[in-house]
Amino acid sequence: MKILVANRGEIAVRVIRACREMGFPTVAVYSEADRAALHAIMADEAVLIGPAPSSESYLRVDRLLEAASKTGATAVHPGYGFLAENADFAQACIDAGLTFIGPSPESIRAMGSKLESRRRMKEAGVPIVPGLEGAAASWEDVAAFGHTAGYPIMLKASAGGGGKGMRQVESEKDLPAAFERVRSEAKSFFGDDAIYAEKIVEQPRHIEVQVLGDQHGNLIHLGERECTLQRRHQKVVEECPSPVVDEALRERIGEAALKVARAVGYYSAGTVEFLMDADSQFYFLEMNTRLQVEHPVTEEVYGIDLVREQIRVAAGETLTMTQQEVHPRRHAIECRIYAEAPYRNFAPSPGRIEFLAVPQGPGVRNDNGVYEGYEVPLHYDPMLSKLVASARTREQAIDRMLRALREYRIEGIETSIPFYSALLSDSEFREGKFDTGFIDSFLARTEIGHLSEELSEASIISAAILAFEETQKATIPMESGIEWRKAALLEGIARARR
Amino acid sequence: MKFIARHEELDIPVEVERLGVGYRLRVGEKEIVADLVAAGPRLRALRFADGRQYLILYHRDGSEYRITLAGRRAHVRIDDPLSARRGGPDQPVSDASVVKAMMPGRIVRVLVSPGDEVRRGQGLLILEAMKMENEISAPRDGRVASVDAEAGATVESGAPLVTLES
Repeated sequence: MKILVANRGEIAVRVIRACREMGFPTVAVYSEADRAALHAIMADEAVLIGPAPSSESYLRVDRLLEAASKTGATAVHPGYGFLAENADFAQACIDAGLTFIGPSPESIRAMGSKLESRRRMKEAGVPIVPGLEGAAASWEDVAAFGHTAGYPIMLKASAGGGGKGMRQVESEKDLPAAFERVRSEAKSFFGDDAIYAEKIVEQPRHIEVQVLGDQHGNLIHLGERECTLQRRHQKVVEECPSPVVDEALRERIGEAALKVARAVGYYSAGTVEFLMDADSQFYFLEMNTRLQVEHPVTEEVYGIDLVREQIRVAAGETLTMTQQEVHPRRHAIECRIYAEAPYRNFAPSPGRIEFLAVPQGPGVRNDNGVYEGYEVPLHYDPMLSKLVASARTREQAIDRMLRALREYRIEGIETSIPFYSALLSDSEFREGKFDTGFIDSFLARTEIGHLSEELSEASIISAAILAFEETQKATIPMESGIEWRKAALLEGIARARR
Repeated sequence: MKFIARHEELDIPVEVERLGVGYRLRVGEKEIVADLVAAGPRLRALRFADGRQYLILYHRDGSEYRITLAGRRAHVRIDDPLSARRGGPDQPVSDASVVKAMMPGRIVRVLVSPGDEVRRGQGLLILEAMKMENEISAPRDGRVASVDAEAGATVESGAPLVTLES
């Protein structure tokens, strides 16, 4: 197999690593902005596929297929994002005679529409969040639902995902404006303006289950991930296992996830997302028919390389483990390190990474997509790396992550590291007490990066000594430069004579 | 050598002199003996006479120092006493009649028109950068004198976006 990685950044690097371990040559694709990106310089071959905007490069099916045919690639790994959940792309790969490293186009299509997948799951006997069963033609349709279900309700684009195309509505008077806004977002982001409404689950936790299947009907789950902590509907910290899921609940929610996957004939790695209320009642939310950003926490806890399994399954091999053989053996936490300034309301902070020293040592994994000297481009997601810490218990994993965050030294751009240091030190977080609204309330009551008097003083002293050194530096060449000047002068004379 | 250190809106007189391989400092009223050991590019170990130490990462931009230590970031400005007086602690921090782009990006939408009365914190326009829409809000109450950018335009960091008048 020769594998083309149809993605960029840390996930492309992650896939290339697995391919290399398995002895498969790799082809990277890159945009003009990514000529020197880590994934492009790391692969065995690299092919330019277009200008910086992803609509002209990473989302161009024709150019990706052309790159595959030019290099003689025989398989395609889509990573996550971009075309990973695009059934037409999966089909186009298959039609071009390539192995698509992921589920079947039919599975992707069945889960691509929220309305369609909700209908199917209801049929399969999987609990779903109460809501409209068809697309709402107007805000009045939603108003009728809101009247019976009670506010607040959630408006969602049927084709939506990744936190885009959804909006909470507090009362009927806000409905017309919210309806229009979600509909226009749905149209511009997903090219499909079908929207519907769901009842709000109170104090929800966001729990997702990793599934893995082969093309011979074997399907297992690899427990849950806790993904409740989100900001602007984007996950910020993920854990495996969840601090609120015990073995019995894991078995129940795992069974439900397998039912979901079976209903669409799923194989490869996939993730079934659930909302869970305070009474541990869970409801199917959606299925991500691809590798998930946060897959490393499951890998650390279950000791399984998911990308390797994906590649094996795509090649037609059978799973090497059964449900009885897989158990959560550790606790793992992931922090997504972003190029954004937590002190300035998380504004993006693109620029050149002038210094980078990443944490090492026991139980620390850093899946990165950048290097020292790299210019973080403006055009793409600002995620620099995923920092994962694992240990025997949750307590130890948190302490290990705090240690790793301290060792993570990066200069030239701002990052979300100080935010994570504050969050993981928070007592409510450490107790595992949170719902999806936690980050907002945490930010409201926390001064991120607060400097103690001791640290302030150390900073002032350091800066003063550095400034003092600067003043000394300016005079040094005058004293010690004599030998050098003499040499330069002689060199000049020698040259003039030639 | 005497400096003025500005940190978290406070001006602190600092004095530094060589002492053996390290330094003797006076920070405000306090006397301190410390060394700042080079530990690689941009890394230093600040080590006090009692053995206490911090590993610091630093970045210098003119007289502005950004110091990262214990996972936190501090900003310190070091001036010699003369220029500090000139620069003026009495100069207001932000007069902010011109709202500028704090990062390069694309203007998605303009939310105000010249003549509009705006309140502090009210959204003026939406700037897209790194796939994120960022609302640029008014730094103070005022009236929009002019809108200096239009929807769809790409702007550089520091480009004027909206001018406010009181």
